[in-house]
Amino acid sequence: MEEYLLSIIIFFPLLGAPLLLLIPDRYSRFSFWITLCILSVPLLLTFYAYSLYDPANPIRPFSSEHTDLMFMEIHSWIPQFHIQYSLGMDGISLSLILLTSIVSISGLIIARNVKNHTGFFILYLTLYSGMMGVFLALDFFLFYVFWELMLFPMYFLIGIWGGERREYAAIKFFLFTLVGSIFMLLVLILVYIYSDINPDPAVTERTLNLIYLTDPGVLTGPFLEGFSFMGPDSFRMAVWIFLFIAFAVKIPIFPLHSWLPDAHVEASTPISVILAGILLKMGVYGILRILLPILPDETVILGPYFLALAGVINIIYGSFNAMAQNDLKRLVAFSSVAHMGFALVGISSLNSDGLNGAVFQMFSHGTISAMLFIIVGALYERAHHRKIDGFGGLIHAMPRFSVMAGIAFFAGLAIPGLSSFVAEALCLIGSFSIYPYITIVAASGIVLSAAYFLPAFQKIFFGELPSGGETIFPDIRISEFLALLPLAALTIILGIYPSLLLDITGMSVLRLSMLFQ
Amino acid sequence: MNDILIHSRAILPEIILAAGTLTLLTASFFKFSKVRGFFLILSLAIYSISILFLLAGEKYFGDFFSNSIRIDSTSDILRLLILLTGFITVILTEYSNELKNSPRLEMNLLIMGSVLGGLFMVISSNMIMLYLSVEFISLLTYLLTGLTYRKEKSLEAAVKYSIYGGFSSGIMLFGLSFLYGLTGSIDFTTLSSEIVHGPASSRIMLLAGTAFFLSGMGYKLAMVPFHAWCPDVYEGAATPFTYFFIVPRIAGFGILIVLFKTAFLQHISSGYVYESIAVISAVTMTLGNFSALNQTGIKRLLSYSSIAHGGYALALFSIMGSGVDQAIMYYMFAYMLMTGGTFIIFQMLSENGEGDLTLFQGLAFRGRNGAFLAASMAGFAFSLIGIPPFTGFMGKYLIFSHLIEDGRYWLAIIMGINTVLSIYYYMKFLHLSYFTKNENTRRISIPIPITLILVLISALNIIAGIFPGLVLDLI
Repeated sequence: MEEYLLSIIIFFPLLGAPLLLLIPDRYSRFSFWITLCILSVPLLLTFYAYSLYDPANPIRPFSSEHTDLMFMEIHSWIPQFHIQYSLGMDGISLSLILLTSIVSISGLIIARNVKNHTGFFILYLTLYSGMMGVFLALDFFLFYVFWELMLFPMYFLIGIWGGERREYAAIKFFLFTLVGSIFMLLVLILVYIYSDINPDPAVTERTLNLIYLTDPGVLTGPFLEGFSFMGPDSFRMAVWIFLFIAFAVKIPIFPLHSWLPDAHVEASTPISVILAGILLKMGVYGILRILLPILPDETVILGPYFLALAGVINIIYGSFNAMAQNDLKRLVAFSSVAHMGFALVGISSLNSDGLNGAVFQMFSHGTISAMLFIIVGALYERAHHRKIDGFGGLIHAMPRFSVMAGIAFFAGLAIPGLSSFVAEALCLIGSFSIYPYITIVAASGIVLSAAYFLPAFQKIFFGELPSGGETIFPDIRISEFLALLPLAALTIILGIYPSLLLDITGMSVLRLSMLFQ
Repeated sequence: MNDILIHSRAILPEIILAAGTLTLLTASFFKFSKVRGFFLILSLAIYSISILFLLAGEKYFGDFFSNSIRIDSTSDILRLLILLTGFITVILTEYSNELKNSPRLEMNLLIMGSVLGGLFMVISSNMIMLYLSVEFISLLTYLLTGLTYRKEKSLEAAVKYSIYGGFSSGIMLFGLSFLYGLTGSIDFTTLSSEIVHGPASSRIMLLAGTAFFLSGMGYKLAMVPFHAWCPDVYEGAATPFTYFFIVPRIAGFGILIVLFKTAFLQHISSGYVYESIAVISAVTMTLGNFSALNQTGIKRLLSYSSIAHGGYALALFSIMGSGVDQAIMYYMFAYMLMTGGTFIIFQMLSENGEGDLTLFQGLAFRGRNGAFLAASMAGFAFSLIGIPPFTGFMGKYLIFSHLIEDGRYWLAIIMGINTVLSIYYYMKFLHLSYFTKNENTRRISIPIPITLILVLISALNIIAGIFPGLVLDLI
């Protein structure tokens, strides 16, 4: 069982999806429960993987001899092109598959009452498999296939079940992501053609295995005329930049971010939860899993501009945009842009503090943004609008809901004691020793986040409740509570006892950071 | 005598089809042939026997009939694809409204003849055989286009097709006569060695001959700038025949593979041929995609999309190296699945073979059948764009990797841009069928055989995309 654990986690939901088609229309109300059962299997298996994960391995640098990955699966898939079906899990993947399985369950609970739900759940399960696959794939080609596998369920999920401008948002999401994917495809082919794992120069043995590719000297390309300004190793530089663009679309990094507000705002609540909670983490994960280990020297050269600077721009740009929003959902969407900036700044430090902070930020932002979107969705369901000005005094009508919302909002502005504080502090601590000025500017992002989250919270929950508000705003529903509870609990627990997560990511991150010393 | 027998065994599938056409003719003299569906069953039986012999019979690879026919694993697969397409076409004609009043005998005869022509085309290995089989399939497809001559468009398309086709055949023959005159040989292999060892002074004439020959093929394969007939013909022909036009395309690319593999063109090349093929390919894909952007008629849209896909496949011919023929074959296979599937869906939706994108409006919400068609269309559209895990992706991946490996970066970049462009119009299908509503809630009925075919094609579209090794091993 353990040798196929990861495959089961990935494919169980996908293979369970056709089950929903067999349910007759009369009994379609059960499809939610069936989906819940299907999704709880990988959830339990991820917990099982967490319990088995043993971080006490001796720390060795990242290389093909000492992968220190668990539950490795390697099978030949397309032998003609040396493509393998290989999976494996280290601390970084583990933290992200934990996030995926938890946030997906919350999203599913919120999705209980969607229309045409059979189709919705089938696409949801497909999406789930794609996301899990991305976090566990160790073959570049496999990674790409999973990366794209999320694309079309997401397109339909935004386009069919979204808000007013859903079609526009869906096609925009699709186009942006696909343009990014084409860059990744280009890199995939270049890596395949110019990789050689055989030390004998006479024999060329190509590979797409992400672990083999981390060995120095495996990837050497020709001198590219067009990129000659980057020095003699222009090939690897070009690969770095193309790959960075592919991930930057997904993160998203400033000029490539414009799909995000549209997609997040137009998508229905469960899909916004998935988008902000998990999908945004894929870009950063891609940087950690592929860009850093395969091209470490190039990362050192290009990192200051593309990681640190881009991160700070994201923080400032996202924060100011969030401040200007009157639509609560757009505010949350832009706050995601800002918070992903912290992860980038953390990565740019290339030391274990910053990298740990980045992984921690991914996890903590995943739970917090999911909570925020659930809260926005709940407010919208009651009031049928999302204008911050249009609310007021909700704390009188829905006290329990306000507590949950309070946790989410305060987590958003990184109050000590909540997970986001640990995450952002770690990112800034890591980067301060390397880029002090950039870090100071980045740190202002915490103040800025208070400048948009606090006024919004005040306007919505404090003040006068409009007359008749008691009937419009019933207190928290049981489903909302169940969806928010695990996320809120994680935010608090990880804020107080971050070692729960740092223990599992620490070793993998340390191994990664040893590449840069 | 003994020789002929042995040689005949190699082309048994073709002989069965040829005998089949005679059987159809003979059977028409008898009264029982008036029974409804008689010719359908008979021709399906003939195709099945032919396919059976192709698959189960002993394999004869090599040169036959004094080097006029060459059979290898590539042509074997191509024969199978062509026969299968013919088989499906016959089923489609049975359920076509447009062909309700068409004479059954003639129709089945023409289809079978064209399939035969296609089969001979992919196994031909000298100029005479090539020319005859190209003419064979061309003449019969002109007639197929005009079979619904009561429709003005059909008639116009047939006339246009035959004029263009006749012209291109002339050009092709002109080119071939150059080559023959210079080398004194009609056999491709001897031709290439003649070219290598022949006097350098004849180089320019050889190049001209090749150019004429390739232009002729370009017409047949609807390469820009020889593509103008394609949209009109696709639009005018009845939908099952539009589907059938996959055959001349597969056969055309197949024979090009043979020509390149026998080193016939490699020797003439001196770079020019490859460079100009690369340019033509770039122009073809770009123009095809740009023209498709604003088409509303589905047949016209698909014809431009076919032109663009032809451009992608042609890109591989510009780098003809090891493993490239495999990639072309895989792409042809993917093309057959995705374009063919789209045409079948179109036939199910359209009653008279006409119709624009509005046919797809709200398709996903028109009962189980509508949802089924919309879902399969989604698969084909994603495949046409080139998104994993569908076959189209694997096909494009192979093309990209070969182009980059051979250093034709500019062509790869143009192809990448084209892929992004094509998203716009392929996504229209999905957009309309999933994101819009339609007052027309008439339930769609799909005959069971066609459901089976669609399920099969959709399944292959995914399976061959996830496990391309299954297909690549065959090739």
